[in-house]
Amino acid sequence: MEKLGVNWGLLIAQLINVIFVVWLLTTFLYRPILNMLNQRTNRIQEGLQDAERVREQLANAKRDYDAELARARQEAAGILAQAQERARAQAAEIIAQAHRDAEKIKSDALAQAEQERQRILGELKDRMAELVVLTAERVLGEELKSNHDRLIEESLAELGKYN
Amino acid sequence: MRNRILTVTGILLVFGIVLYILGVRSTKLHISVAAEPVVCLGGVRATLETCASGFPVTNSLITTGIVLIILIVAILAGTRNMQMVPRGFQNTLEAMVEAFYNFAQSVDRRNVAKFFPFCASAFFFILVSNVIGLVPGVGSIGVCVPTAGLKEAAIGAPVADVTTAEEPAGAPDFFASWPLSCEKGTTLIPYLRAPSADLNMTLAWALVSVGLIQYFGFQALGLGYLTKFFNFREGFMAAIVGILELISEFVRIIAFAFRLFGNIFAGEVILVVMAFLFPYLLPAPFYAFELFVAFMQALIFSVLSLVFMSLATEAHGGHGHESHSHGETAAH
Repeated sequence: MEKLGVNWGLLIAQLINVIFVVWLLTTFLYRPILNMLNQRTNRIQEGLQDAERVREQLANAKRDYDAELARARQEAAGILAQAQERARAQAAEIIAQAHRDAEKIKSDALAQAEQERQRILGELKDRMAELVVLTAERVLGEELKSNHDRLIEESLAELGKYN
Repeated sequence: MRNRILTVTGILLVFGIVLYILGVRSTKLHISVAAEPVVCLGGVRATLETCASGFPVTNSLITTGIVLIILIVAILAGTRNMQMVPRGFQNTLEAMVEAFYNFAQSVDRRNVAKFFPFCASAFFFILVSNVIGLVPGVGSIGVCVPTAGLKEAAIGAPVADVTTAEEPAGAPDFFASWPLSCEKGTTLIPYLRAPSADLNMTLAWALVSVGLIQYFGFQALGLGYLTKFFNFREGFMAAIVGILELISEFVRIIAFAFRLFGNIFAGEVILVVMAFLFPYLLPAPFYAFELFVAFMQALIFSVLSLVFMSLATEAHGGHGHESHSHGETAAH
């Protein structure tokens, strides 16, 4: 071994060196680097999880939005239908009211007309009676006195019947 | 593209041949199995490879320090001011650590936190150690030590000092007059040498690795770990296999140390020899191959440590030793 250059002093020096190298690399190379790799792995995992979560949230939001939209649409349709229904009812109501009003106006008018006619007829009767009395007075003169008031009334009633 | 590669290669080859004929090349070849001391702290040099007294500060020890500095600088550059979104060097460092961590996890998910620090450190340190040997200037810049005053190395010392015989005697070394070149009668001792090409370093890592394997084994199985080696209840064959296991634990130290040392040192020798034979273009493919070897050996050392640790924590009765003997043969 001596001829191959093996020397106790050198060997021990190299042994110390080996231990130093292992210590050095372990403390200052592997530990920080493996820590960093672990950290990065965690970070990436976290990132992926976050992305997954965000995607889920997005899907949820979309679902919610769609549901909301559908509901709104349904509601709008309901409101529309209701409004239409109400409008139709209102229209019918208005028409009915109008009919009723028209009917009332018509009946009022008729009643008024009837009343008017009765009044006019009444007046006409009085005038007629006067005229008839006048005429009869002129025609018959003195003879025809108040005894004939009943006859006149009868004839006037007869006249009223024809009307 | 292919044409351009061929053109550049051809031009370089012609240029190289011309330079070679003109004598612009190295005429000395110095290979040493052992790491040479650059200085002997508080002592004197005995041979090129040893100190008579004092602590030898070898070139590989100096380079080990440089490797440490490189690692510290890399750590500072990569982990100071860490960002959640990695950028630049932090990204590179993280990718490397994470890749190795995932690999360690695939080998043993349960004990990865225990095994990872040592195995990953082995990988990174050995990788830098191997690659630093390929940096130009490592192994070629150094101090000139006179060989005359020194005792010759012990008999059979694996030292090769070759001066090309074909050169006519007295043929001038082209670089002799250049600054920093060594005079006659002196040998270059490089300031730097790949730490993995020094048996002290590989042996230290191997010892710690095998020590940790036993430690994790005892930690996981308690004294039951010993029944892997001293198994006298299941018959004669099991006892023999147990003893073989025990021997193989010790062989592992040698295997770990010499596999790494052998590969890296052989790579350096190949590069030096190729550069000596024909310094232009010839070493390039070997250089590329040595880069691959540098990476592979770092990986093999750390992965084998990991697998052995994982096997040591498994209870006796599995067919563990078959798979690791496979691993070991594949690694050679």
